[in-house]
Amino acid sequence: MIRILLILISITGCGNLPIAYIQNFSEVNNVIFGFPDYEITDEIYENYDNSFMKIRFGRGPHAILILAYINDDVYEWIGSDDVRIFTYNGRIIRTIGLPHNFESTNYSKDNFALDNSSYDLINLYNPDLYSVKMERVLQSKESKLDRLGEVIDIYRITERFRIESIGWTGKNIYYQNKETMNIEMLEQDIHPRLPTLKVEYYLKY
Amino acid sequence: MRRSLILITLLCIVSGNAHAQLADYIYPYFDQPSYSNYGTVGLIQMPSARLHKGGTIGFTWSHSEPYLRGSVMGNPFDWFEASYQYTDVNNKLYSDSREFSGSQSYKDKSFDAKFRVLKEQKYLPQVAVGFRDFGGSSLFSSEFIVASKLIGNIDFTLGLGFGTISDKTISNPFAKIDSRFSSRRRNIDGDTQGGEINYGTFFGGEKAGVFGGAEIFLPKLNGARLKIEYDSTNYGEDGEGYLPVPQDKKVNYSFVYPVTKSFQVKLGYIRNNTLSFGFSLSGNYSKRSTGITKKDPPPLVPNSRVYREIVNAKEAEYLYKSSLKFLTENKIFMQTANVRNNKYEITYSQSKYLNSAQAVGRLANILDQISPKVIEEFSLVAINADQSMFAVDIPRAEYQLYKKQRKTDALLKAVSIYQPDPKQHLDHDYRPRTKLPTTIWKLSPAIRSQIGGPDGFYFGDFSIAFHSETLLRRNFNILSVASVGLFNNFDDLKLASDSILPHVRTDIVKYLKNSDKYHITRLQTNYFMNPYKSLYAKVSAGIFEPMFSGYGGEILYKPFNKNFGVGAEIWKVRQRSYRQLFGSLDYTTLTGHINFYYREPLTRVLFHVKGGRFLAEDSGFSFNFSREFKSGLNMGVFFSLTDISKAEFGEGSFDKGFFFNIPIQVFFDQYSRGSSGFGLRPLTRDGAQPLTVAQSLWSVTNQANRDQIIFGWDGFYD
Repeated sequence: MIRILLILISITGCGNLPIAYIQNFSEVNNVIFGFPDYEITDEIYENYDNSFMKIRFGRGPHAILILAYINDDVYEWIGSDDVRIFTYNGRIIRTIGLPHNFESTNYSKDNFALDNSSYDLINLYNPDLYSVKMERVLQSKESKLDRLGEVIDIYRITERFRIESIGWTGKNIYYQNKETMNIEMLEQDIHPRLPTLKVEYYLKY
Repeated sequence: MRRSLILITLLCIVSGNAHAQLADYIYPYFDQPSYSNYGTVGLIQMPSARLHKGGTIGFTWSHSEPYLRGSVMGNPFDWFEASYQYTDVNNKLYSDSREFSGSQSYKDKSFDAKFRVLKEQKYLPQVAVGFRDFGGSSLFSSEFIVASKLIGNIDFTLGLGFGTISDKTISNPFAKIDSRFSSRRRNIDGDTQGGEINYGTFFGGEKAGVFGGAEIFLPKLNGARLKIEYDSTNYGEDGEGYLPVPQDKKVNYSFVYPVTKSFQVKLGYIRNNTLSFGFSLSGNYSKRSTGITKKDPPPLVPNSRVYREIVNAKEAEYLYKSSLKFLTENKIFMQTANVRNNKYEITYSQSKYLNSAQAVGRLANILDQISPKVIEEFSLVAINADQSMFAVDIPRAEYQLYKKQRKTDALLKAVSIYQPDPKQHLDHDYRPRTKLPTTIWKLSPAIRSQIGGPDGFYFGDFSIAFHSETLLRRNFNILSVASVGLFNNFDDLKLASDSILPHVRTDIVKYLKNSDKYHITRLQTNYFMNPYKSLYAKVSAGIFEPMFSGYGGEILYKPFNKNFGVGAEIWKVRQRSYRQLFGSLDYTTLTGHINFYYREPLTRVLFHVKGGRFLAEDSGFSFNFSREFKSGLNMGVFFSLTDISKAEFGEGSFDKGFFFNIPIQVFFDQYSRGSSGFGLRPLTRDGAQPLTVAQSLWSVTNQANRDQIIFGWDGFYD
């Protein structure tokens, strides 16, 4: 927000001091109105040799992370600036290289089971806070999703979470393919000091 | 008051003590002070002893009848807060003449300052001294001494107020020390136009007022706070404002909610009869990294091993050409190159990196990837406008040794930074042919504003500006800025100048109204020279700025290993026509100054004194103090004193103001040299007005200083 104001102030000349200017209007536009979304088309999808994910924090710019390793069903995705995201069954369980990182230390093997509420033990970094209990309640309903030009049937799973000790509550949404049971997209809050992380998976196998 | 204390106590009990780690999440933004309705860091109406960290810029807006306030703040140091307040007083007309005022309400502009005199200790509070509205009409003139102490999650404040924040409940303790403090005696009598600093009123008055309160950090509410205060403001006939404001109770309440770390909103209830609300924005730009991750890492040269082997087997020309290719791709422009005794010498210029040390690091990074093993040292000479800035000799082994762990301190001990001979590169082997003339240009939005006049609160235009720089030779350029107006609301802008001096600035309304379709701001040629080490010169001609064109020159002596510079400039100028194309008015003058600069190396405070004749042919001095931060943010204040009387100068009495320049790159994920500036004078008058000429020698030779390179050295491997 301060960026927006300073940019607006900065392109304003007051009195007779030298009038300032902005270098690139499109960058200003992005900061004020958010970075434009772009769609992964079939052509872009085909240009990647490996599975990849498109991520975006809030209205920020997009980034592509490539699937680098799979260990014990934990997928490790790596970005160009050393950001790493670890997922299990499509749910983010750990991050490295972000300004504020997150780690789930006892993630459930069946993390989308709807029968009852469960909890995770979470580590939050910067500031560091270890082994806090995150309560989770899941709900699901059927829906449809447009993926690479095709409409697919999905389960829209809503996960309401709460960390009582710090008063952090939120809602994550997972879009699960009814046929493959893979998570196609998600919107997950991973740290109280970060905007919601939106992820689209593009798997190649 | 008792109810407030009970509430404070209850909240203390509810919140309890939190563990440090948990507290960071339970009370986020704990280290972010909040702003008062008045516009500075404080409680609700009253100040506190808190300050933002040095390098913070802030903006607040608040509405609490009858006042609508906007303020801009800067913290050049951890211990100093400077702010400019703009207040719309809606129970008073703009002037005593209803015909002149129309429906415009009174507008007050003022400067405030707060100094921390004691930093908070374990058992000691933080103590600050502040001055409100000390240089304006003194409508809100007041001073305070205040202490704040954080206990648990509550920040307690207690203070002593003078002037308009004194409800005159206790005897002035200073009056017992010196009887001169027993009245708010004004030292300014007779010849005054407002805007002077009223030293005589400071901490004066028979009585003072005690104020206090608490800022309570509420748990698990995203850093929200509740504020309660005892308001000692004198809202009576002899107090704040032109007209009395009813105050039913002296206790105020406010709720502050941080939407983000930098954006806070607030809602309050003051005087037991008035709702108040507002918001504030603040950001700290003191550090090299300001939170935006750069997606512009040092480049990797593809197949660099091949380049190293090829250039090893052939003549050095292959090395020169591959260096030219990769440096140009990375916006570093090689001017000359030479291999001599295992040393690879390069002269370069660049316009991408604000931090000169970072540019050196990027250059060394590319050279290290493509140079054969026989090269043991890089000798890099930076030039700007064909003037030698600085040279760095980097032993290659040390560069590689410290690169992985980014040990810039260790590398600094191994390198040699010095002032190069301006003619040194003339005997280099390789001098790539440069296609000249060449032009770079860009389009950008531009806004011109007039705020706070009697015709209306805001007048402005929005235009698209074309900026260009044409290089005829390396040391000879043409700068241009031209704009096409898109829309404006200048029609109702009528205020004419009342100045008795030549109208060198006060005809701003005529300039704005007559140039709204399209206009030329600058069309300036510059010819730079660097005849000897430490001696720089330039001559310039053309349209320098919106109001003057002409010709002249500047000379600057700036020793590389010293932190001062001495220069002189002289300009023959003619006032431009209001249309701002190529026409001119009759007024011509000769203006010139002696300039002295000194940059204090530890605090990075630049002290600039300009003495000579100004545009309106008044003579005197202009003083400018500014501080530079690691991010490139620069903020400062200025004032000028010349030989004209206060009456001749008009309202404001003397020229003064503040400014900040903020690098564009702090907002984006790419590096760039551009910066945006914001400057503010409470009033635009004709006295003490210097000519504005782009590319002053001090700014062009900014890199020609050893301390300047060392200041940015920690960004070498960025």
